[in-house]
Amino acid sequence: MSASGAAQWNASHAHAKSSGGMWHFLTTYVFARDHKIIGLQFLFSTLIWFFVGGMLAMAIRWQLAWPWQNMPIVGPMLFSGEGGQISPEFYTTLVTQHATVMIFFVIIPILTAAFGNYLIPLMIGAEDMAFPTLNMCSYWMMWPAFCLIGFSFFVPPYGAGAGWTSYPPLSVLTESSPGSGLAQTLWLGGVTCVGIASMMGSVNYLTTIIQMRAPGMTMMRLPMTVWAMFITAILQAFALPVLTAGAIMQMTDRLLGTGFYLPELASANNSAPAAGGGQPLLWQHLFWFYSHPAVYIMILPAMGMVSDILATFSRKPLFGYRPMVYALCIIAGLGFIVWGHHMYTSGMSPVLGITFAAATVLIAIPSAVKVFNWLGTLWGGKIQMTTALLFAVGFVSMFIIGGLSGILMASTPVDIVIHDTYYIVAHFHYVLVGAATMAIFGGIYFWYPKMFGRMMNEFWGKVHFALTFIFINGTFFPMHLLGAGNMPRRYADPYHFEMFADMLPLNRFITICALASMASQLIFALNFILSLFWGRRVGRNPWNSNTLEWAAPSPPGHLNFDFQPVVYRGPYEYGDPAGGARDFKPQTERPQDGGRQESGHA
Amino acid sequence: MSMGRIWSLLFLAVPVLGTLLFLIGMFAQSGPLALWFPENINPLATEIDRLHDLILALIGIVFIGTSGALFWFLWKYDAASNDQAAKFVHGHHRLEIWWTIIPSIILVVLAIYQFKVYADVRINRPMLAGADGQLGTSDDQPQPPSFEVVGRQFEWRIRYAGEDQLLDTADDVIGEVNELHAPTDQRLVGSLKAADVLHSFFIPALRLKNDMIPGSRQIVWFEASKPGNYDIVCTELCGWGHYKMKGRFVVQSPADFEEYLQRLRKLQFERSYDGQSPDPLSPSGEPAESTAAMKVSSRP
Amino acid sequence: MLCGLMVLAGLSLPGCEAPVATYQPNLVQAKVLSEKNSIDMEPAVRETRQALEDLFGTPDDPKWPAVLAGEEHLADLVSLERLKRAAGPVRSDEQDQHFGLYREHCVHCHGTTGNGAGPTAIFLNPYPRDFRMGMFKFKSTPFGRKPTRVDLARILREGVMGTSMPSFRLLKDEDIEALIDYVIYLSMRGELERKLLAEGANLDIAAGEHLYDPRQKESAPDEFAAQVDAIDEMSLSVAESWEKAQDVTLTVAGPPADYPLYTRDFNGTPEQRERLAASLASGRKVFHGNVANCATCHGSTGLGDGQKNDYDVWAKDWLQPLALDPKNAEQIEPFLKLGALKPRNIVPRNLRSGMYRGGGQPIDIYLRIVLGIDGTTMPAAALKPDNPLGLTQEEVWDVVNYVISLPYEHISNATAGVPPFAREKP
Repeated sequence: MSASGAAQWNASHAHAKSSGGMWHFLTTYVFARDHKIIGLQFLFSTLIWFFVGGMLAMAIRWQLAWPWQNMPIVGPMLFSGEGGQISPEFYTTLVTQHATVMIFFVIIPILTAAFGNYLIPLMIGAEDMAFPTLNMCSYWMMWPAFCLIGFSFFVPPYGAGAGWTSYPPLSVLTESSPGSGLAQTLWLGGVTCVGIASMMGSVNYLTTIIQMRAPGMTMMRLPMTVWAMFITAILQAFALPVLTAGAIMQMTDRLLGTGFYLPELASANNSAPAAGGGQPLLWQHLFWFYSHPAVYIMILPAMGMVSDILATFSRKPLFGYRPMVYALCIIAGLGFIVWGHHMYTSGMSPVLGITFAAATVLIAIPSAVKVFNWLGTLWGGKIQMTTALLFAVGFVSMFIIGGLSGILMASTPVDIVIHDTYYIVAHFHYVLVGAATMAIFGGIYFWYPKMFGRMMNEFWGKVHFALTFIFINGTFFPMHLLGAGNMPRRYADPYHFEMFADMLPLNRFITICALASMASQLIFALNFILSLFWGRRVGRNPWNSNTLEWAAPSPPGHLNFDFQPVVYRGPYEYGDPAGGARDFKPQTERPQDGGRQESGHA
Repeated sequence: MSMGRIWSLLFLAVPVLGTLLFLIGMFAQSGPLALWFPENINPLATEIDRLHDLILALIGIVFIGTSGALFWFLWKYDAASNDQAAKFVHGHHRLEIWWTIIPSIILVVLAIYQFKVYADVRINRPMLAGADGQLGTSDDQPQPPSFEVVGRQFEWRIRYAGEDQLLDTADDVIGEVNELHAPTDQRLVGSLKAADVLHSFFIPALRLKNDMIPGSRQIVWFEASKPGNYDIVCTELCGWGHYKMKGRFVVQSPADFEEYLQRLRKLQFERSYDGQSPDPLSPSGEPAESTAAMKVSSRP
Repeated sequence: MLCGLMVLAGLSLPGCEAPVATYQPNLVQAKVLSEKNSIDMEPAVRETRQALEDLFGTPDDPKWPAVLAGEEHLADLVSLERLKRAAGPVRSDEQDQHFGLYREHCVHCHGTTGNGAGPTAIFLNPYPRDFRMGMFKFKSTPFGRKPTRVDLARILREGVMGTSMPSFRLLKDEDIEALIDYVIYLSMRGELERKLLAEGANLDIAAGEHLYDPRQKESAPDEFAAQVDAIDEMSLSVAESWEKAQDVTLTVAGPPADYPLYTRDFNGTPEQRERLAASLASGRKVFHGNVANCATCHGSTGLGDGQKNDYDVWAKDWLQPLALDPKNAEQIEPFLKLGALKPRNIVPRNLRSGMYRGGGQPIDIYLRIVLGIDGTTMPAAALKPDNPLGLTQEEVWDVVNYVISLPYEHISNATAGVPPFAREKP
């Protein structure tokens, strides 16, 4: 692409600069409609909430390691009358808010909204999303949610306390728990806002990916990241409305006296009996109908990103592109019919336990296929051990553990024993912290040069990886053992049971690992911030990667590309022996033999 | 050794240490890692333990295999230690088929096996022979529950069926709070209810867990084969006192159990507050005998 | 790694300095006295606090007043060793003995000071017990008397059904004994505080009349000794009231031999059922009669709707002296800020629910009728022969039978034969 050609391109696509000053600043950087800015807005907001969620987790671990001792920071601030000892309802608030913040304000937004927004148009060769204003709205809808849930931290007992699962009647009867008062209403409002933001985003992604691909970018030439975002958007679009409706019903139960979830004459703590006439299990079905696909929303984008990173740093094509795409689709499809596996012991008809177990066990198959394909990608490669690759491999390692432990839970009779114990906590933290978070870090190290035109420091990145990997495993692997010992979840103090009294040393070890892993993130934070100013500057394609985003400038300007991208091949043509000295072939590079599209895979 | 190979060793540590941790947990007798399922005293649920161990063995093999492969590929194909060009391979159709079919077969077999275990524990409610005295015929009746546990914030309220062997009648014996007694070697059916919010009744030693839903009644069944004291644990977040809902499950010989019920019946209207005995309800305390006239005296 | 350690250190620094738990002064009582007598109670509060600290210590380091330790018959009311096990932060020693029992099990509802206003209290219905008035509801001693240790042990072991007071029967006996000691300790401390504040309201501390001024130990030893004597008198009188309760012998073994009993006889022989029917009829008559007057409060159908506008004594303690209107938020607000809990009506028990807070055994219902319930408007029944117009023992047991039968009585739309508390959805 010649310089004059670039200039021509820029000239023909330049927008008249607006009158400058405050209005320009607001519309460009605050109420931005450029998908890259929006992606970065999501990234920064979610990283801050990552810190908040992490601190909440540290408080939980503190109580489990040193029960009823003075809790740092919080103890002197809120509970000085009791010598810094927290109140038990504060503990239920901690577990509720930790999960809520991590799921709704961190993992889902980072994966779908930060990475999705930033990467999708770039990877498909588009100028921006299909609906830039809707995109802006989806970011700014997060702020009411931030405010509502943030404000609930100041309503005693400092937040909702019915669990992120918010099961009625605990969440609906305001007298049943201190955290079920105003704080719960705020929580429901926050979740509704997050849901609306997500739904807006999903509509945008689906339209963009279907309609705005560059010439030559067939569906089967999409990078796995985009496929994953696409399938995730379908999950969001179909599952979220159910949660939103259910949450609104819970809101009306609380505020307007409807009885969707309350049995007749429901009463707690000697409250006046509610009219009721509903069924608590209804909420569980509606909630999990969304929240099971939600966990796939939290893992599929990670899987997509990891596929891209592994292929890039193995310097060979992704093993089994089509099977990987099919696996994504099957996981998503099956993900809609397995929600009842969260409810095996809920008192729903036991026969349903069989149907849901069958579907759940089947999900293991596409997941296994994906793991085998990632291994196949690494096999026979020429692996460059960059930070991003290490995190991607870390993802695979931890996803193996998380996925396999899920098979134990899928089995209904075994789940009867291990439901609501630390076995479950170990499982989902492996897939969320172990897998999704590893992929997030990997994605940040990988795409940072594209976003900011500078590299993060590789040495400190590897230090960050090593510490995080070691301490996350140290935190969550022993939890399997706690689960085998039947230690229950959400217990402020399990040790007064004789059968759990021996678990204190292991819990202390876990807490220490957790604190260390949290402390290690300081390295990442410093690396991220300092590299913004002093990172090594790089050009368009520091990693020698094939996908379209690497053909744009680093960082891309407004409208992304300074030429019209045309796609000639699939995204993973690495290591082609016919390629000569270079071991990669960008998607948008013309083939050697003048214009004829290359045959071969995809 | 190149840095890349050192990283691959880090990934080798995962299956090595992970397997080690599980083995210690399963087989160690003492120490902070000797944590495993408590003894199973429910003969109707031994299949659950077996199923868990089977699945654990299966996934253990897969874990070691895939994590080992992960380490091996990183070690062998590390660019810094390996001069070979990368293999330009996009996939392998037949391999994909095989590694889809084989796990599918294993998982489907597993799924079918566990249905039977599950049905025995949760679907096939114990039946009693009907009028014809034969079990397995169409006039069989479900065995009625002989005890009821009501979960409420934050305690377990217990009732036993009285002489008429039916719950919800006036001769029910009110049990002691947080303490459920059961006789050994009898198939028992229980009824679970909640008074306010969701609770979940979990007895680890019986492998028994079921949520308690306000407004409905859940039926559970078990057999207890070994006398002793076991824990009852609440496993559904029910408020701030969720962690305090400690209950005791006492398994006694049938004779002892009958004696216990008798004592409970007597306690309903005989209780001495004489200040001497430290606990009018201690199991060792003898209830006072009925007297014709009562003394309500106090020192002026 | 270094950064990590620094962060860890920084995080734990606030943790190193655990805030010292302190007893809260009874500011509500002080304000009542202050407004009633139009004086500034601040000096009295200060001196009271000092006196209590010298006598009773702090939550982490309790003391037992010397004057009480000196009296032989009071010596085993409370043991300092047991107090130390219940007090302080939660910890265990090498022999796995638990310390800090009160803070582990009780503080978040009953509060560090035993004022029934811990962090959770405001969310509970009914409120946790405020020990500081020395009044307890469910016991075996006559109206107006302290409970016995056995009564307190029973509450700890059984919990209070229908409230948030859980059962602690699974604690070790020695732990329960330690907690009983601590409850008595907090209660006595609270009662003494009330006496001191009342005394302080009569003194003009600014003019030099002191309630308790340790500075005068050197400067005016006689006056100080007089102050100490006065306080010792008050301590003794509080302790005596507890000691007297221990001596009360209440032997209630059950109804008269062979007397009809609902739970035993409703399904018995025809003769038993006939006698039971007669007992129930008699009980119904007494219930609605004007000797016992049960229906006035409990309602003509036993639903507890006879009258619902009263407040319990713990609330009236600060409402009545100043004739405050509990529904007037402006009047109540200053007291709520000082730690009082929003007044709630005390409602007579709904006898058709099958839930009895003092216990649902026939003997428990008997005791509630005969002894009344302290702190509420449930009076002790007038009994023959002490009161010629009162009830006989047989009549009391008839009422007990009637009350127990109420949840099983068929009223319109109720599921026959099943108490509402135990009903399932059809």
